Amino acid sequence: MSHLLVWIVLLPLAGFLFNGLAGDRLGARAVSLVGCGLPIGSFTLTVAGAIALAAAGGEPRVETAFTWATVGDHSFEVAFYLDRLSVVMALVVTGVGSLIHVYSTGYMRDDPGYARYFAYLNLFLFFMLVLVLGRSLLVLFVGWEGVGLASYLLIGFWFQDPEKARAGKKAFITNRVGDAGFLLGMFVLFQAAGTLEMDRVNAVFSTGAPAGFSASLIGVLLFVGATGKSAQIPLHVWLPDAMAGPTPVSALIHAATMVTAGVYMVARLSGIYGQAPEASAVIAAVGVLTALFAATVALTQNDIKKVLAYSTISQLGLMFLALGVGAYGVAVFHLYTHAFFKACLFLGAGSVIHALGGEQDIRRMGGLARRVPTTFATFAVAAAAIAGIPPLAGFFSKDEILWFALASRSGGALWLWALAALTAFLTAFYMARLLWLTFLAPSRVDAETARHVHESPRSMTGVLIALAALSAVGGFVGVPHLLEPLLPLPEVRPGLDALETPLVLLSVLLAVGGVGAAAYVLAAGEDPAEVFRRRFPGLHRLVAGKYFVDEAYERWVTRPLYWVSDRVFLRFSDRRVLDGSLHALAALAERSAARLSRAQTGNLQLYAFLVLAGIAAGLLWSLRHV
Amino acid sequence: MVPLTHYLVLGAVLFVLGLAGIFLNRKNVLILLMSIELMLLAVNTNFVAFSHFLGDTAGQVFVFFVLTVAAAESAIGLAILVVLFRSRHTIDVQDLDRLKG
Amino acid sequence: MSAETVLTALLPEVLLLAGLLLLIGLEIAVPRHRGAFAVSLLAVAAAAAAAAWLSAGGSSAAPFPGHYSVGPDTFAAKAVVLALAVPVLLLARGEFPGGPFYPLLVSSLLGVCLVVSADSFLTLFLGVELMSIPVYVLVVLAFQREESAEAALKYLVLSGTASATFLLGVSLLYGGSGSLALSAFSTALGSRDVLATAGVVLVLSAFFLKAAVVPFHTWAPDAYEAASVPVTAYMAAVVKAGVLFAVLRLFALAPAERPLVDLLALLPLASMVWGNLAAMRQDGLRRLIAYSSIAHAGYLFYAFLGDGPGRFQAVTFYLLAYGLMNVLVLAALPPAGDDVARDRLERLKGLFQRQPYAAWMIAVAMLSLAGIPPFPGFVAKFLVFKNVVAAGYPVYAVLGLVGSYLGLYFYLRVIQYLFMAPPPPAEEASAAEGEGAPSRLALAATVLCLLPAILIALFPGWVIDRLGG
Repeated sequence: MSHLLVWIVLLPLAGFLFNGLAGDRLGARAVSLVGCGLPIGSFTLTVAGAIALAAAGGEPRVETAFTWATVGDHSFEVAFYLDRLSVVMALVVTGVGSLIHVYSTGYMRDDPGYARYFAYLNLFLFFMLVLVLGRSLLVLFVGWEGVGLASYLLIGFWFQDPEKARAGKKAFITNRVGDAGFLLGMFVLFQAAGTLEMDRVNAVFSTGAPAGFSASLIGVLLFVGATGKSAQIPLHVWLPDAMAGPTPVSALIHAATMVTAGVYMVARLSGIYGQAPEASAVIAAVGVLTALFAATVALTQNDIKKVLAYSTISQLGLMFLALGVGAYGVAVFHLYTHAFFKACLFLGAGSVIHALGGEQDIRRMGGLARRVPTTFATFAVAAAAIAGIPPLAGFFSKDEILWFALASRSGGALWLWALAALTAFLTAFYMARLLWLTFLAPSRVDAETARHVHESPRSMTGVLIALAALSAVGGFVGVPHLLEPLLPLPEVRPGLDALETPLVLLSVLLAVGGVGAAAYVLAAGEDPAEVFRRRFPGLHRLVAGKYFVDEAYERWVTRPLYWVSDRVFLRFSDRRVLDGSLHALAALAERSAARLSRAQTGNLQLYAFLVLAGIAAGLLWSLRHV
Repeated sequence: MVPLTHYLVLGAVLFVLGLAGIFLNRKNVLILLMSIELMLLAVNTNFVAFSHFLGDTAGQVFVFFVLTVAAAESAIGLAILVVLFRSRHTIDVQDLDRLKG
Repeated sequence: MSAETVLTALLPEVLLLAGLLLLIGLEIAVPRHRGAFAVSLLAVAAAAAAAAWLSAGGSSAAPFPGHYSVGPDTFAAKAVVLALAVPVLLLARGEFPGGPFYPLLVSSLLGVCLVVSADSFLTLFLGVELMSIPVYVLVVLAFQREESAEAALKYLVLSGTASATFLLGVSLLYGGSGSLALSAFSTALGSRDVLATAGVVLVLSAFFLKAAVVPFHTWAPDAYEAASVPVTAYMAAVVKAGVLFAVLRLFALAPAERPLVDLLALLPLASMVWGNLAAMRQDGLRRLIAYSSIAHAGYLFYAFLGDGPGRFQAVTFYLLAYGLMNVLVLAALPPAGDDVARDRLERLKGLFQRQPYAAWMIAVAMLSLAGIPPFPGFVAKFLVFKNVVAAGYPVYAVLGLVGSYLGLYFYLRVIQYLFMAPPPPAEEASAAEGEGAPSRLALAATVLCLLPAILIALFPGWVIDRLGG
């Protein structure tokens, strides 16, 4: 097939058009058939493309759809580009995307906006494929904005709720702040390289930045765009709020695919970043700080989706850390494994929420392991994978990130490794807490809800099982190795080779340690005796004094940790400084809008005065500067 | 002979008087239309003066066109004024503030 | 020069004039005739087709040397303006079954054509006045609101002031150069002479006023709101285009120099910020469009920071994309019992459930006006900002981009209203009160806007090539 890539991209668009225009009239069955069938078709074609690519020895496949614009002597073509990197991304996007479409048929079954939902979801997939397969940065940007739009529509899917509509708008606007940087970076890059086709840009930069241009400036500008889309400090504020959308949307857009677009973009333009040590250092630092920050916040959250949202931010931070130290292939590896286990976790959370009739607070869960066994089992596998328990997928990718954070010759440093290792420990800790409070701890579900708890339909559990299986074995695919001809791994700093094996052991230790620490605190903290203690504190203290050890433990270890993450990170930096400044800006805009509106008094004399003042000011200014 | 600058100063003064008339006048809309006429006449003075000193007749031709257009504009202005008076029963500039915000 | 060449060069104008004479003749000869709409539609469409054909043929001539000339560029510009007027006419059918609307509109279009081809200040002045004077009447014409006359008067007074300011500037330029040729302006751009600089600033201020750039914008919200829907569409799409083409003629290919650069950057920047911020508070659609048009005037004047053929392409492309989208919104706006109710933004709540096609059209227009890819508005903004960067003003480009993001807020608010779940039954009843589906002609107008919009979004390169340069 000569237009394979075009078809991959167009199939979901056809789904969008079909479901958007005719879906309401044709009933749920046709909608599901089209809405899921076309993404699966896309996936099949992508697999075919991957096989063809392997047969061609990794030679990139280019398809020009049409020439979009010729400006001056530059022509912008809408061309699609399939190489080792984009094939991995396309497989993840169509594969995980198809699974989530299937899951949605169960999850959204009773929603009145069923057709609209599938139309938006197909639209998202279309734009995401444009983003991934685009050869030119401009095409990528079209996809980039398009996924933002689709995400806006999906976050605000339940528009009746003004809170949710506001979350959608916040996501969209925060992203546009990043896009301003992205667009500028694109302009400068175009001036520097004379092309926006990314393979040719990389070729131009392979011998150093063009004279008169700084690769780091371009790199940082584009990275500003990435911080918006991939929720890195300081533009991460939208992602937790974006959880207002339906849960499958959170899984697809806000965990597996769209938020990783920034990572993909940086890896795609590795030619630039290879010449930009300063920009890379910025990326590594922002990445590792985001990772740590988000992991501590995740400890304190009680909303199951918020925990996962902060965890996503944290994992994205680790990917950027890998990019910053030049290990592009490793970042893509983690992106790939993360897509599986985080999608599985979100969908599992969705299954739990479904089972509990909409409950999202983990303080009112517990004891679900027996009631929803499939969900529990798959959730546990994915949680273990993200925690980095060998031999599950997350272990391999996270271990490599840690290794290169320390050992890479292009930017590896001890402090990066130390912070990343701490993040890994915290990750294991909060995932264990989440798993425990949701499934294993004694039930805190009220009786009325408990009676209705049920396992989700087969369309949902089947997807969970598939994703859990991928989370388990996905790590055995050596993605960095596959990508090596395109994205060579950085050299190792001299004298560190010997440390590789001990560090692997150390990261296993970190993962197990995190789980263990959590288990130790929680196993004691939430048993029936604990409830008893809370009801009758005096009596309890008289009867069992041996718990003082645990309280001391909590006071000296857990509570300070919670305190720091709660006060310092969540309340202060997140809410007050970052969120607060955004609110302040919005309020400022509102106020000035009101003032400007009042300036339009309707009085003709005022209008004439403004004209006179304008002319006078223009004359004065110009004549003074003649 | 009167030097060019005197004409230009006269033109500028007339123009500013016209402009000031628009935003100082609070009563009658008719005066607004007269102010615009005044501004256009100021411009005409300029054109004629330049035309004379340059020895080029194009400027004077321009003046005829300006006068014609000014007449058309005034005619339309007065017609709108009539419509305004019919609906509002006033031609006070101050009352023209229904549209705002 | 043979009569045939002259006639060919003036073909669009001749067609418009023929239509105009026929309209006036009909008005006099046949009382209460119903042919005005058909005649004007035919004349405008034929003129647009003629302009497009002549542009493609690459013909150029100077029927009145020194005052009036045509070339592929000017024909392309005329084609754009006249083509934008066609859907406007379709919209007008319902509101104006006959009467003076059609001759006025056609003569205003004739003025635009004159502006586009002007070589001397005389032609330019006549063109601008012929373009604007009928619009004062158009604003008051439908007389659906008491405020119409007030708005028309405000427009007339401020626009008259602008004309006087323009003429004062022209007289100074004339005094300095001794000629009425438009090239006096571009020569004066680089001059350090006081009179020349003052002339340039005065002329530019006048066009700032006509295009509604802050602080000369005050007439626009009032006039846009009080005019009837087709007239608002005409002012937003065609008149604004005429004004910008006039400025294009003035600047020609000359680069902007300091201190004019500051004026050309700061006032448009102020327009973007002011327009976008003030639009946030509006609850009437036409007033919102007015403020949005103030912001867009800012982007359009930004293009003058760049120079050379890129400027003509960027401005023309922008005018096309922006004009199509403005007409599209107003065409898709469902009719209602009375004019004030039709305008209310609140009424768009849940429109998607009631009239999905209209909702999609308005959404597309809003996204395009906001400049989101892959909609045509993005390409337009891209061209403008690319030229600003290429001309060496990256700081202004950054500020402009930031200013443009302010606009997202209110465009998204409209979209949010459109796709909101239906309001509670009581509110829905009041929202849908008197609401009908857009008329068949209005639907045709949306199609006429949508198809070219799709074309320029998919093949901007092809379109830009056709815009010469």
